[in-house]
Amino acid sequence: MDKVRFIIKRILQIIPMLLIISILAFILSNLSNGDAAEIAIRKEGGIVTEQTLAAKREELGLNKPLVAQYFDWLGRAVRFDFGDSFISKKPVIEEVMSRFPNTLYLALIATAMALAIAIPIALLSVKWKGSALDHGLRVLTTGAATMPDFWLGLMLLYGFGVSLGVVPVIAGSNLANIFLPAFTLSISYAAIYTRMLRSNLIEVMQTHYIKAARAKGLGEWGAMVKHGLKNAVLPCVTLVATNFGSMLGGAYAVEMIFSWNGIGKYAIESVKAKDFPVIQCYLIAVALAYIGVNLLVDILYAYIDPKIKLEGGKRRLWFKR
Amino acid sequence: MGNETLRKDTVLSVRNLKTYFYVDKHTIVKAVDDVSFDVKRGKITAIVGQSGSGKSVTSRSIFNLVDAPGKIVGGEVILNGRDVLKLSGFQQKKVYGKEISLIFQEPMSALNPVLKVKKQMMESILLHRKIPRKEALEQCRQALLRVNLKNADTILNQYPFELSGGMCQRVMIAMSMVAHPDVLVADEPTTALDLTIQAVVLEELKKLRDNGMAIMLITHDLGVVAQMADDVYVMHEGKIVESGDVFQIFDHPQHMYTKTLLSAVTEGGKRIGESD
Repeated sequence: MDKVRFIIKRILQIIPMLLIISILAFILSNLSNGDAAEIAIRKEGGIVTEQTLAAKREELGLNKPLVAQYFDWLGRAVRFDFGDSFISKKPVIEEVMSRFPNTLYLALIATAMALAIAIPIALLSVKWKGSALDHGLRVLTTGAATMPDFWLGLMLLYGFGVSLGVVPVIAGSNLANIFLPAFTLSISYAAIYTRMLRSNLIEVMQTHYIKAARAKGLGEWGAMVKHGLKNAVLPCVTLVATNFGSMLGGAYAVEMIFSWNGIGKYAIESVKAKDFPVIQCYLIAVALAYIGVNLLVDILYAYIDPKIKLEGGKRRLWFKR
Repeated sequence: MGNETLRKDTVLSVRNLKTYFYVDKHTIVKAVDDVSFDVKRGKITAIVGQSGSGKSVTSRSIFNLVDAPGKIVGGEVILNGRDVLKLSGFQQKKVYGKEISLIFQEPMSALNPVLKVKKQMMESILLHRKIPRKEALEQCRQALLRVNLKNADTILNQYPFELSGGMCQRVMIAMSMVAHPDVLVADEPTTALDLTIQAVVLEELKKLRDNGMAIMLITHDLGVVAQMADDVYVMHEGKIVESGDVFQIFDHPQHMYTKTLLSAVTEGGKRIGESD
C-alpha cells in the first residue's frame, strides 16, 4: 500500500517539473532570431510579403500574445502533438520516437559494459591492493576517465574500420554494429565506476562482518564477492542511474562519430537546421526519460537495499529500534 | 599417562605467538609478544586484560585475520594436532568455521546488513557440509530456539538491523553453533550488551561448554571471569603475565599486574568510580 502511494506521489511531483521544462523549451525557441512564419513560408517555397507573412502568422497563431501561444502549444504537447518538422514535414513525435530506441539500446549496452568492466577490475585491485597490478590499473582507469569519447571513438573507428576493416566505417544503426559505439561510450563511465567501487570495497573490507565471514571459512576472496560486493555496489546505484539518464539524452559525440541514428545525433542536426519543433520535443522527451529513470531507481532501491522503506513520498533510512 | 590425557583434552594450543604492527619504519608495536596458552575440551579458558593488552589481536591471529600493517611474525596455532597458520589458504578455509568459530564483540556490525539472517546462518553450515538446504534451514531454526529466540521463523527472514544487539549476539552464537566447532573463540561477547541479555548469553556459553565444546573467552570483565572461567590467563602489554585455574588467580594472585587488576574491581566490594 505504502509503495503504491509512494509511486503515485512521485508521479504527481513530476508534473510541476515538466511544466517548468516546457516553459523553458517554449521560450528557448522564441528567443532565437528568425521569424518562424518567414521560415515556414520559405520552406514552402512561397514569397515573403507583408500579406503572406500576416496570413502565415494568423495560421500559425503567432499573432496571439506569447502566453496564449504557450498554452496553445502546451495543449497540443500534452496530446503528444509537437507539430511537424520543418525539414521532413512529418510529425515531430514520430521522428523522435523512431530514433529513441537506438539511443535506449546504446545507453543500456554501454551501462552494462561499464559495469561488466568496472566490477572485476575493482575486485582485482582490492584483492591485490597496493601491488603493481593495483597501481597499473589505477594508471589505466585514470587515463580512461580523462579520455574524451570523441577522440577514443575516432581512434577505434580508424583502427577497426579503416586499418583492419573489420567493421563498416558508416554502419547502420542496428544491433550488430553496436559494440564499438557502446564500448566508446562506456569507457569513461567504467573508469569512474571502478574508482568508486574500489574505494567502497576497501572500506567494506575493513568491517567486522567481512572479518566474521572470513572466520566462517569463506576466505578473503569469497567474503569479498559474497558479502562485500553488494554492500559496495549499493551506494553506486544512484550514480549509475543518473549517468544512464544522461546517456538517454543522447551521447552526441559518439552518435555523430559512429553515425548512430539516435536522438542525440538528431538533436544536433535539428539545431543546425533551426528545426524548432524538433528541439522542443527533444527537450521534453529527454527530461521525461531522465525523470522516469530517477523514479525507477527510487522504486528499485526499496528492493535492493533492505534498510530503505518507501514511505510518505520520500525515500528515507528506516531503523527499527 | 596423565600427560597423554592432558594432550588429548587440549584442542587448541597457541605456542609462542608473535604478532607485530609495523606502524612506520622506526616503530614496531608488539601487540602479541610470545604468547602461549592451551584451550581444553569442556572448559572455558579466559584471556583477561585491559584494553590494548593484545587480547583481540590474539584472537584475530588465530583466525589469520590480521591486516596490514600487522603481521604474524612467529609462533604456532595448533588446532586438533596441526598448525593452522602453516596450512594453505585453501586448507585454512576448511578449518575456519568448521573446527573453530569466532564471535565478535560488536554483534550488530558482525552481521552483514544487506543479507537476511537465514542466508548468513545457512552459509556457515553449507560451506562445510553438503546437506539439503531445507535441512540446513531447519538446523538454523533449532539453533535459534536453543539460544532462547522464540520467534525463530520471523528472525530467520529478517535483516540484522531489524534485531536488537542482544538478539544479534544470540544469532551470532547460534550461527557458530550450527557448524559444531571444536573450539569457540568469544571475543568480548557480552561487552556491548545490557546485563539481562549478558546473563542469557553467558548461560548459553556455559551450556556449550557442558556439552564438551572448548571455549576461549576474551574479556576485560573480571566478574564474568569469576562466574564463567575454568582456566585463566592474564595478559598485559602483549604478554601472558600469569596463568592458572580460576581459584588460584582470584585467591592467590602472584603477579603485580594481576593484583592491581583485581584490586581495581574489588576495592570495598565496589567498582572504582561507583559512588554508592
